[in-house]
Amino acid sequence: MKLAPMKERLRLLLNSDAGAPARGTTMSGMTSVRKGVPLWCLFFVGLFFPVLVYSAPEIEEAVPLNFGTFAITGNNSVSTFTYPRTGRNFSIAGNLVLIAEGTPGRFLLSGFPPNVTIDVEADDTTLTAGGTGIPEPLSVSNYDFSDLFSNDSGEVELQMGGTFSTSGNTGDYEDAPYSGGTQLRFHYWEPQVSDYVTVTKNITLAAEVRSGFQLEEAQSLSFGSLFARATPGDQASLTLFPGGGFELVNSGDARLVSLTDPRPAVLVVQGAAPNRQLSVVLQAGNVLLENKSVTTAPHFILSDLTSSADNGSDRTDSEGTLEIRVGGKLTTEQTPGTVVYPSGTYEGVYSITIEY
Amino acid sequence: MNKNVAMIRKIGGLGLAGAMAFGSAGATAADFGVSAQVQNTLAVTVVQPMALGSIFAASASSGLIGSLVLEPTGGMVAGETGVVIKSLGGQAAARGSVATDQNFTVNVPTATIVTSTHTGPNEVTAVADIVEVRIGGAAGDPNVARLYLANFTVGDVTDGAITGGPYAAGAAVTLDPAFGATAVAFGIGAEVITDDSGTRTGYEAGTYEGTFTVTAEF
Repeated sequence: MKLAPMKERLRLLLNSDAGAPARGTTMSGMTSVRKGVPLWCLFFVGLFFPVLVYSAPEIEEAVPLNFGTFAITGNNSVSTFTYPRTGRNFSIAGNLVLIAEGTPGRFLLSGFPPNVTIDVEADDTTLTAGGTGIPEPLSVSNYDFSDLFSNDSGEVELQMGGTFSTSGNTGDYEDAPYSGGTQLRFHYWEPQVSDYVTVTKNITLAAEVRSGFQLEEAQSLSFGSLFARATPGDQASLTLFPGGGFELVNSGDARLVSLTDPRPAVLVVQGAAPNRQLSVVLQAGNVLLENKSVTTAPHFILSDLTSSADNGSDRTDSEGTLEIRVGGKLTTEQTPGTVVYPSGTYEGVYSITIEY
Repeated sequence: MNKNVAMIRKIGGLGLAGAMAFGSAGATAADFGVSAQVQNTLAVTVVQPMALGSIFAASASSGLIGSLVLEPTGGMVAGETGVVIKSLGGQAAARGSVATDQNFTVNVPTATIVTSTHTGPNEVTAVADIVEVRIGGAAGDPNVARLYLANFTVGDVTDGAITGGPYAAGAAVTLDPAFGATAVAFGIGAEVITDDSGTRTGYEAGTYEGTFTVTAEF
């Protein structure tokens, strides 16, 4: 932040919210001169420099500052994202995952005096979900502004970065667009009034929190059509590999016959961070598959759920998408006597957790 | 006289349910369904119904029976001759097909009778699982003498072989599909026996019909 010293000087305050100059386009617009300045001085200034006509300072928000889209994977401690005004070499500390890059702020300043240094500052602010002010907020500070020196036409471009931080108080951040406002204040030497002048502009900062992602079942886990026979002492099994291959093991009179090919589940993660490793955790316990139409029917036992994710994790592609295939081992139940499984559909439910 | 083979056909349909889950705090947990479709009876496709062809049979007796043996290959040979019954040709064994590459068992009607030892009335009609063949089918004239089917046999297997035999008539037969085969066809024969009720003694010209059930299972 740069701020010129503000001492006992004549000031002209111009407000240019939303880029609209308030006043001061000519010498006659200097209506907010402080008391104590004799009006006859203004008369002389107008008398000797009648052709000095400047346009009003304007600040056009070419690109608003948007920090991008993030997953917040934990809020037990403060996490920060530092976004330089160039948009390059940003840094993340803590439990933040960048999902989509944002854009540094870019503002076009015009109507300023030529060849003057312009200092700019802004207050710290917070971004909240939907801009509603409801916790948890993201705190924005440490703005990174480019140096401003107007050209011969009184124009210059401002680039703006900044840093946002999480609260670190274990509060939950809602998945939503976050926004908040602050005021840019530009200080510069105004030759027309021989003093420093301040121009302000209210801006909105934005970011998006998207800690969750979509997990869609493109294909359910199915062991196909089977003939099955359960016995007291033996169990038959069908192991379905995530790649689609399967292996049948029959023991004694226990039997599984595959009539149509089983197929692994195909689960698709979407909306996650691109090129990011995700952990895939499948249910460890057994799942019973039951025939709801024939409650006395023996069950199948689903165990050893496995996924296509190597060692329990896999990486999303450049679009933040990850396809996960799930297989498992289906086993006949041990029954008091030999039982042929009644015809029908045998169903169960398994769980899966995917996280950053 | 024609006889239609009834079939049991059970084909399971797989349900596919889609689901979607959303998560937060950097993790997504979801429950998804898993299913298996059990089909404990194989679908038997009727390739050809059984046809007894044209038969000459004039009368029936309570104490005597006559019979013809329709072989799984479609041949018809004479059986018992206590009552005159002759084949005039046109017969065909039933043929069924099962689409599988796994061993399976064919179940035919279990009715069996040793026709050569027949001595008295209703020995045929009282046999369990006997198949009636009546003029006009089930709704036909009940007073007309009937034909009966028993001693079913399985043979003439295409794209497979009978394994584990020999099998008695009426017994379940295990078929072993040939390597690479995805379906097995087989013939079904039976012995056609005259009515021994003693109350239905005359046959009439016409079409005699009946049904029997063949199932297959693993």
